[in-house]
Amino acid sequence: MKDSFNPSIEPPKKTVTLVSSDGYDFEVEEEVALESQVIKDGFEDKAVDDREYLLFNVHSDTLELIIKYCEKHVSSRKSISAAAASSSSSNGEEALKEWDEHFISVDTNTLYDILMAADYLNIKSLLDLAIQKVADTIHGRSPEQIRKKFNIENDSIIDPWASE
Amino acid sequence: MLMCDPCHDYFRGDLYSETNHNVMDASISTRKSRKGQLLHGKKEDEREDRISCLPDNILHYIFSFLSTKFAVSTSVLSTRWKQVWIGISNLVFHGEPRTDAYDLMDKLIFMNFVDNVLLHHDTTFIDKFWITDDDIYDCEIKIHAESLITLDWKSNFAYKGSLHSLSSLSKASIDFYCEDDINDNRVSKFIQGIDVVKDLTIFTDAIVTLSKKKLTVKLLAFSNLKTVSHCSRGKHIWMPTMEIGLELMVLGHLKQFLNLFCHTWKSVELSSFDENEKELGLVGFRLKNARALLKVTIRSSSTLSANPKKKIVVLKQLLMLPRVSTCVINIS
Repeated sequence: MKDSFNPSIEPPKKTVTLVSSDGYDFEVEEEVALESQVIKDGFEDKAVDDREYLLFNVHSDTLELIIKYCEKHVSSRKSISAAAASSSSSNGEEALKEWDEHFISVDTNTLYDILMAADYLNIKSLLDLAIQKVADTIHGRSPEQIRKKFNIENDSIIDPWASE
Repeated sequence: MLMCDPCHDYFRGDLYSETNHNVMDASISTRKSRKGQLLHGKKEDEREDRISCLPDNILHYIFSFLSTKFAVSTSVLSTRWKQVWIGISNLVFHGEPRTDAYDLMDKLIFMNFVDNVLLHHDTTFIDKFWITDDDIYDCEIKIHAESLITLDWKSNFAYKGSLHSLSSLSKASIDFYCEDDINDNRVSKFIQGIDVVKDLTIFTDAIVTLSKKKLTVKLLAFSNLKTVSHCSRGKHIWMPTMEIGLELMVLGHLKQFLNLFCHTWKSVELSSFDENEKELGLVGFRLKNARALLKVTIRSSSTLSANPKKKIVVLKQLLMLPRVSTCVINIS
């Protein structure tokens, strides 16, 4: 409440509270939360002091990773545009790509959690990153290798006509 | 010994709280600390099949990053996967690279595969259909696509490609080359197939082919054509500017081709202009023939703008060119 009345006096960073499915609160900066298109879409309609989002489909472990990703992307975007403005050379984009690569190198379960959360929150760049990772795993593998990799059980009834 | 124990415990406790503190620091201002068992508990279901639990739309998205061959091959994984690929919206076919071992059988297998995919696929939802045609020949590709909006056609016409009912086509890019006469009919049919296009990009080879085969005149029948741009290997030389009527931006040595449209040009924009005979000649040709021309905008190339003396010489040359219209020439 105080913030909304005295916005000019030492402006604190505006924050948004994200609540995970298992009930943990995460306080993040507004611009970090706005990386999610879903939050962005409903953002203006919400009152300033009521910016709390209940994310029923995102577990705290995943949410923590998602926030880490968004924070990194917000901050690198700033530093990239700052570097561009001062026309100093920077390899910001490449460094970010490397960071992404490292970020998404997780075990398969975490990867699905990230994927589903990115879809639910509609964070396009993160969804693409996770999807690309899964696609890379499928690419070039035989069905048997894919089954093994993803623990898929073959429950098809063997078709006697299938083997030619 | 007894004296040591509390010390030891204290030390352990301290270490514990310190690590715990670090965890708190690394995490993002959570109210409570969790961790520990949670991560441990997760390890156990590592062998769970979670990919099969993903919703179809996500799986389709995954498939859109893969060539269709791999998407289709997932249909044998399990009953869950059997039908998933049918809903994919991107169909991407790569023929096997032609090697010594590549024979008729491979070709037939590939063609059969494409046919089968199209037969079983829900063809109402195709966003992208992509096929590499280096190894396709002696066959016919028929395309019926009422809702197709963009077409990128790159081909040597080694096969028959016929387009039907492309009534929504708005943008096309054509790049083809064929030498022998037998393909005249194929090129001509193809050109007829895209006659509703509004925005056309033509590669140099395609212009050469069309001119050689005296087919350029067919482009005049394109009643919706608003913009034509010429592309020589990835670089658009003439940048289109949108105004009423047809504006043609084509660079090439093929005056015959330019001649077709030039009297309807309203404005022309030429990017990265360099001072050389050919480009000057082209501008001259335009000015001499384009009756409706109102504006010519020339953006000089970086080498030319670095040399202001030369720029003035070029500008003088440009202004001395004979014109049929009272158009304005801007140079920057």
